[in-house]
Amino acid sequence: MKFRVERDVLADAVAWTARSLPARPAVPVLAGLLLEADGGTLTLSSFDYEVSARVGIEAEVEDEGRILVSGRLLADICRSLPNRPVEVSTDGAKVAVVCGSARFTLPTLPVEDYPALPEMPTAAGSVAGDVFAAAVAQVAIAAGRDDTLPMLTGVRIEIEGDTVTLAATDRYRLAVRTFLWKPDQAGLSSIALVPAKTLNDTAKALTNGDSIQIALAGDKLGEGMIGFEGAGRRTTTRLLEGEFPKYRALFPDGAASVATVETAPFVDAVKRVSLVAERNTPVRLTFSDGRLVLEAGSGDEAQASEALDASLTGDEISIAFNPAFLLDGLSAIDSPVAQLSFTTSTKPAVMTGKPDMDAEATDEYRYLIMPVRLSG
Amino acid sequence: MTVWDDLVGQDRVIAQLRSAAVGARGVLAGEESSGGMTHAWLFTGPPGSGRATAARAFAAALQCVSPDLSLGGEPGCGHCDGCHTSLTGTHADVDVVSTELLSIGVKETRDLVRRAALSPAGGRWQVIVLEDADRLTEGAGNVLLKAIEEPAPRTVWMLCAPSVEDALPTIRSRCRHVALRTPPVAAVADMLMRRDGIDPEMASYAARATGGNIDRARRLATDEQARSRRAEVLGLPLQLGDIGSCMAAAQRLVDAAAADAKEITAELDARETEELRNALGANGPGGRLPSGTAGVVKELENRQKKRATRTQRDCLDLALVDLTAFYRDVLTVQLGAPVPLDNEQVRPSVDRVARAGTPEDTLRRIEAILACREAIDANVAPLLAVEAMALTLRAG
Amino acid sequence: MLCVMARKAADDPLAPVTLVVGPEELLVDRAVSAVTRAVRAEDPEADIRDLAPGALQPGMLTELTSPSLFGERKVIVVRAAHDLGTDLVNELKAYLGAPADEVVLVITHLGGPKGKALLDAARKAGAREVACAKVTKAGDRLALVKTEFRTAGRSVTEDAARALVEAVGNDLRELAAACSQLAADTDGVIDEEIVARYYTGRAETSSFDVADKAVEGRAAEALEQLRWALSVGVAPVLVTSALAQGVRNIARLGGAPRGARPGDLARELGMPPWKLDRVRQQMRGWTPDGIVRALQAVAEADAAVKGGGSDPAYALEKAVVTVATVRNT
Repeated sequence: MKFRVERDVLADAVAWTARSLPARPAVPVLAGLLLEADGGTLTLSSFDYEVSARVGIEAEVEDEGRILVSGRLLADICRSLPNRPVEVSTDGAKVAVVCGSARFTLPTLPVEDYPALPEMPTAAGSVAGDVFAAAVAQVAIAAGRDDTLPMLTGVRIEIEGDTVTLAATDRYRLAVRTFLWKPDQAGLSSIALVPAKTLNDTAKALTNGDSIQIALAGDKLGEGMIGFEGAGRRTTTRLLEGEFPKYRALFPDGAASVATVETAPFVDAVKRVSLVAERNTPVRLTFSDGRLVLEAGSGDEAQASEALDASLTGDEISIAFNPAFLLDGLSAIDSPVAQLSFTTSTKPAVMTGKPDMDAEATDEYRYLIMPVRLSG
Repeated sequence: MTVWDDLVGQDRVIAQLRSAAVGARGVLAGEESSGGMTHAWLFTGPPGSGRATAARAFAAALQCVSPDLSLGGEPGCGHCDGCHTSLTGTHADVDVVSTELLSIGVKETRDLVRRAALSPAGGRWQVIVLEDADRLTEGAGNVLLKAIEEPAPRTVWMLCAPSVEDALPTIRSRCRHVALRTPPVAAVADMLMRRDGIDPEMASYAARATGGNIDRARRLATDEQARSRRAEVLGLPLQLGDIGSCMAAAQRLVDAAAADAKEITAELDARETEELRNALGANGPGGRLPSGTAGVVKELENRQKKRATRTQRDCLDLALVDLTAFYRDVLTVQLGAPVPLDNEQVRPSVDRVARAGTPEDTLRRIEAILACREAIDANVAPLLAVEAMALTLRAG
Repeated sequence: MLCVMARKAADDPLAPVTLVVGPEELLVDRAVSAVTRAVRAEDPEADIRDLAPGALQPGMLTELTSPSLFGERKVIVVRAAHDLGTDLVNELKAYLGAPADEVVLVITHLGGPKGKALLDAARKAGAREVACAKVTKAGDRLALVKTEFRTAGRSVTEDAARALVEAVGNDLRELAAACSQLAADTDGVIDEEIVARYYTGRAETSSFDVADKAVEGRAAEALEQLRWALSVGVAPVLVTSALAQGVRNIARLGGAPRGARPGDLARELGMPPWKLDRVRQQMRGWTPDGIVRALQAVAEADAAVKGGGSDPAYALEKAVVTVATVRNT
């Protein structure tokens, strides 16, 4: 194999691919970066058995070929190269990297033992990269973190025509986000459960492109995989199998009261009020017409309360939440105004966002949060 | 070659697994389950029969991507990417779990269950081979049970244990059983000639001497030192003159087994370490490990240490199996049975011991060796157990 | 909610609130684990929060008793509730007025005048109560010892029970631990002799003392050393290892060529010259057959202490006695 490539292009591609190298490879070859030179393209790939990353860059290929080298070593070398064209060529079991007057020789790893990379499923449609990353971030915060129930560590992705719905829950809160995308074919319907952490990392790593393609296969070979592609960078992720809880029924049918509060002062007030209390001591919210009173702490310990402007339609209500979960929700709604709908103080509340006090709330993002019990 | 090549003398098992692998392809193509494909398998068989080898071969057949498949070929070609990486242990969807520990606990099993919840990377089957299913604790078994009862649609569990009784009853009742047998001597000899180019006489000696254990037979046939250590073991029955020499002979036997174990593990350790260092980039221009990778190398070293302990024990047990074979030959001679000796090459010794005692003595000696193996299995200090055995052998 | 409590039988560990009252820690622990076991039996996924004294902070209770979106069972154990501040007492009282479904609350309390308000409130609310009064009378401790052995399926003589109480003292936990140890380590009826063996005469000794006495044929002394060694916590495997070494030395020295130079011999046998002299002394009276039987007895004991047998202590004794008595056979 022999090819020439621009230093920056190579260094970027290597750095990006090396990001997904496993810190503790299950087998040594997984610490390798796969280089494939073919036609006018150099393809770099890495794989940790769960996530694969692939990027294709333009290269002047003299001899085609396929090699595996230590990913860390190659990344270290690329970082230190002068800004000149880089020539990479194999010589038996060694590979030489020459750039200007710098020359490095590194051993190759047994490429025949490298696991087959998952096939990229057929693209299903596309969405703006930043929209997707934001949506994933909004939902992933609610995913579970312990392994006892594997399916709760995932984000469920449902595709129904031009609508995509993401959902995640850790039993105490549930986040659901819908957005529109451009499906490649009308009437597409598909479901996937993606490990939340992986999905979040992947979405963040792809935001530099305008639009990303999501590939979620219905065809046999790619089953169980989801793929993302943006700006020539492609990743695949294995899906979780298992029954995700039937979450839609958890949303209450109607609301006895609906409160509207400006988000930023609300977040600040929750932070201030919960400062005085022990970690995760509940924050009690009391909504009456025109007013929201936040309280934390009780009895002899430090107490705090703060009042905010708020509008309320329906019954007055007093309800308490874990402040961390409340703050997660308030930051995730990502809107100037927060709308909270309640049935009773022991039933889950729904948080949504809207652009201003008078606007109609959208159901685009809903954060369902279980209240903590209020006694006395 | 095919993935089944390493399975010797297991024709019935191969037929069962081939049929299941064909059925599995049907399942992937959306057909009803057929050919006996299922989600949970229990591979049993005596040591050396190739339980784990069979499981790996089956896993490879499930991952076969040979282009011949579309022409009506059978899965398990042995050289396509799917077969090769499955057999090498690098396939993304074949997870071979072996333990150097004496038991597999709840924590390790939870992690397995999590991995089992993932869909296969290659779109076929996600295979988890649990080599030492007999070492699952009861708690771990219960964790596993849930995953086996309600498996992800493409997850296949392959559990290996010496016998059905060694697996937890709740688990074995949910598994399809694959029973391997000790391969016949002729089949092992044939394989040594075919695969390793060993001459017929040596192949037949090694196969007979190791009672069907393929790996041992190959080592014996190819390693001069292994043969001399074996001679040391078989020399023991003639070195039991007085108490002092019994004790010394016991020491030599234990030492020979330890040397055997050391040779096996040293070779493997060196190769593994080199592969890992290479992959981590330690053999680049700087020649040292990149920062943050020392922990990975350390982990490997710890695993290797544990394996060394286990290998030592295994080697000693095999030496005792050899010794049992010697006395069985003695019995054969004493009773005048017209069957070939396992240890034809030391017939003079066999004859001497046979003349010096009665068949009853020989049976008692065989019992003593079995008792010694059991004692070592129960963790008795190896030297102590072998000494006690040597003294009993002397008394007859 | 009161009616829910009333419906529960007084000894139902699944009652919404259990009050564990009294200072006797052993009994308190047992009462608490009876509840958690019962809940786990109903719901293996149950969430169990056992809060050490002082771990409950104001505000936490509400969160702890709050259900998840899916609603699984919970056990909350509030330890040393007599020490709780007013805030927490008020929170608990409020909770008692309206206990949560799917939550089993366990409150442990000394039972004295301190923090009595909470106690009264819980009783008034109909909490199930488990009494764990201090066991002060020797007779009660004696009764406990007997109960412990009975629960373990063993019988104990009156004298032995008394001796155990005297030897171990007033701490019920230690007493219970001693009972379970005796039940595990011995066979047959537990008599005074067994108790004496385990719980009196604690002196320093080592596994090598045992081995030396044994190979020298001093059976009674060897046995005594063994009991001491075990009672001071010498690991049984060290004893078998020392015994094996003792017999091995004799066997190897016996098999060594006569007239060999002491220096060569020491090197050959891997023992220091002074040891050689001692072994020479010990060799007297040993026969080949005796060595065989001794070593086999040690090997059996080694298997037993490493889990192959049900009674390691007995296996060791048998080995020591065999080693000490077979030398002249």
